Amino acid sequence: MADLQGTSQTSDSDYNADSIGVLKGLEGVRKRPGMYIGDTDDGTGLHHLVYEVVDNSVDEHLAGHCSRIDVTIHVDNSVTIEDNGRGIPVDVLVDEGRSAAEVVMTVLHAGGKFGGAGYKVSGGLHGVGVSAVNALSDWLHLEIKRAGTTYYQEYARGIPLSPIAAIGVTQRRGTKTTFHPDPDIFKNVLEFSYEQLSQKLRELAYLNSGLTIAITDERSGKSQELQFEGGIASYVRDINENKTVVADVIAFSDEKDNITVDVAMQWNDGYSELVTCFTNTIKNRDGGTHLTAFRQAMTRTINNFATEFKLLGKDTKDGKATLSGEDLREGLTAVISVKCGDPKYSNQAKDKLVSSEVTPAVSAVVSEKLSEYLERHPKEARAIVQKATIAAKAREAARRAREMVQRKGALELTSLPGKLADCQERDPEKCEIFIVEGESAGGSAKQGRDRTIQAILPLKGKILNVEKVRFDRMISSQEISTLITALGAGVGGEKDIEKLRYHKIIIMTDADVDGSHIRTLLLTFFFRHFGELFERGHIYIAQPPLYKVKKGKSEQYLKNEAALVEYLLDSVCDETVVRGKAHGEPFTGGALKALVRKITDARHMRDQLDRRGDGRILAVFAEAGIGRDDLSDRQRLDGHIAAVKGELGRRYGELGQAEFEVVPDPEHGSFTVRIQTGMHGVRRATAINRDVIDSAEFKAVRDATAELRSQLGGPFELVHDKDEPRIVATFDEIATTIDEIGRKGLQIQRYKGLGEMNAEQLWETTMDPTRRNLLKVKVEEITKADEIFTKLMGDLVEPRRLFIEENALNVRNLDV
Amino acid sequence: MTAAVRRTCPTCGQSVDRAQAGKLWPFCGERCWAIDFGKWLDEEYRIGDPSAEAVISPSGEERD
Repeated sequence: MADLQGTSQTSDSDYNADSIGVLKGLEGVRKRPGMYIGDTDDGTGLHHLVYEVVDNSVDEHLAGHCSRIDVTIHVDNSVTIEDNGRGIPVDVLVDEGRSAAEVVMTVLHAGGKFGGAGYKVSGGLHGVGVSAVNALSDWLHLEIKRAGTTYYQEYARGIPLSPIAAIGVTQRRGTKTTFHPDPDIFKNVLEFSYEQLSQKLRELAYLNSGLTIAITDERSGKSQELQFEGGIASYVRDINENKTVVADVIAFSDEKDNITVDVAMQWNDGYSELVTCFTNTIKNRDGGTHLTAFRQAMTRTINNFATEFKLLGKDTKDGKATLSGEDLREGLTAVISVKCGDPKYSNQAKDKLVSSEVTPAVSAVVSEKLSEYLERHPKEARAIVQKATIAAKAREAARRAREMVQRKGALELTSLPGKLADCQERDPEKCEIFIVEGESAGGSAKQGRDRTIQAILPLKGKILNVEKVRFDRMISSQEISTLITALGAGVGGEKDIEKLRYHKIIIMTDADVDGSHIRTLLLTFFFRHFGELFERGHIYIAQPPLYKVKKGKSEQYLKNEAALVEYLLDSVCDETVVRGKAHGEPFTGGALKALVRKITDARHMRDQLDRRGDGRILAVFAEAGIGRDDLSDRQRLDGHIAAVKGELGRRYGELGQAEFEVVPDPEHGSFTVRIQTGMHGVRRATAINRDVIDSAEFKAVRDATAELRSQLGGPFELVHDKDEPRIVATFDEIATTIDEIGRKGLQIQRYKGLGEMNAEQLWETTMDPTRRNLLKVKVEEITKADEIFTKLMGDLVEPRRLFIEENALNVRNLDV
Repeated sequence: MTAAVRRTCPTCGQSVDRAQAGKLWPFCGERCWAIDFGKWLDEEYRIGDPSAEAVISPSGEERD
């Protein structure tokens, strides 16, 4: 605004009675007030009265003569507007025979701005001036301080009650207007809204950075002083206060062809655009030539810059590498303020600026200043371009998505490609669809299925060779639409889950990494676009077997490791008897199976013990049944140690020679046994202390051993079928021997792919409703999984970001 | 008694209420839905990284 004061050609002396142009006719204002100040019923017109007077003071500020405006709402709903401008001239106009001030107050379209000499630019709400306010007030008091004298005049409904008169002397200057809206004119809303007024005044304060506007509400005692040194830049900053911004506010100001252009702009990470336009501090709700020029210049400038510095990736899809205006407008907050003489609007309310001379001025200023900014701030420039690039991607994706949903017939069942082998049944409750990975498995599934109720949809799970290092899995867009079509429930806003054609949607993938990737993608897609399916329990995962065992001519499928162990036990235990030579009943059949399971569990726990030290030593201590009490009694402890050493020697030879050191553990009134062992040159320290003895795995091994020993005392005699009896020393050997016997003559094949099974096998093991296992996916699980997926996908966006960064300009060259 | 189900929109990260979101759940609105759906159509969602393994390995209840 400083420029404006500097460029103002007028001075105090020029603003006198001669510079007032006169246009007569005020009667119309009271007859049709709405035409001049807006609706008189809903409060619009009422508040405009204040703006009209304030705008006169702002004009004084724009001309460089006013720095403060005070607006006061009084208890009777009258309002005072006082400025420290030059004061309206009071000289008597020769033609009129009355004071210039009186002409301004009573003649429509009279004012300093007419004739061009008084103000270069002016807001003046509807150009009707303060005379309209006067005409619509049942009383108005005017006080002018000018050239050391105070002048005063009163009006009623626009009619002066007496000529203007000097009433005193003063050191100050300015114009003070107090008016009371005429209740005959203003219906319904007669009270001024402090909020509404202060919002508008705030806007004015932002637009006029050197101006202080104070508002006081004497009815409530509220008041505030509005002054923003930063001008419209602070306006933009304040709007974005609680948002994440892409870069700092870009603000610039310049004058071209007597038109002042002020712009402040900033991008936030949101989607909406908020651009506010002003002409001579009046807001233009519908924008106009300045807005259009701004948008075009901004788009062109940023594109030129981005192209010059190769900030745009090579868009291989359509060969176009430009940012559209729409992309750049996403998340943009801006204020455009122009000041010019004699602006033209499309309507009385000045909602839209139509002055064509504004276009080249705004265009030139934005082009020049914005490119200057971008060149000087490469980091910010890059962030802005990147933001628009992402917006472009998102918009393009959204457009395609909407198009696909809306394209007639695209997702209708008649358009189903031949890939889907549908079922005959039409009752969705009875129908199932298998989504099968791979063409060959799909083929087997089609052959093996029960075609009355089972539909098959094979998915290729497209493989993409990325940088020859990784193979990415994805679902092709064709497959996505096939899926949606097959389900029959539509998608997005058009979705109707009641139309779902199958109540069991069964994902059937290989038991390998690729299979799990495809399953993850499918589940994620379903969760995001058919979340109801999980809520209603329609999504299942097929459980193809992991093993096939073959003995002679008989084959059997086993779904997992546990099933294989069970199978081996079954095949051996019925023909095997185990006897303890020391004590106990012989074990066979089911009892033997239970015994072996206990042994296996104990072994698993012993493996766990190895994390706490040398597992061999710890296990022997545990098996010896050592408890807390043994650790606090030195004599008993020494006895145990001797026994343990002996056992270690029997089992592992040299380990029996290991050094055992017993040290006191005063904190627990107890002892700690320390053992140093070495294996393959690696020294290992093991400690038996209270913590170890209290640990779950130590207790588990101790208790399991005690239980086993209570049932059976070794060494053991194991007789299988008609074999010679085997003598085994430990419980562990019982388990390993049975396992060995079980595997003998057995072919165990691990299945990786569904394709390894023929149609019949697939049906028997995985698809037959009477025999198969299905896993139902719960909504809680999928919710959690999707969050991980989101993060993962977030990471996958990284290469694209890197690409942009790598192609960005060299910061050092410009950042001087 | 069911607690209000809230989730973050996969596209914009905003918190979304299940009851209010309707058909576009778990997205906050049409725009975010369309962006995600568009990405599927554009084949932008890919898994190849071994770290993506077993992201979803449901241990859900067995059936049938």
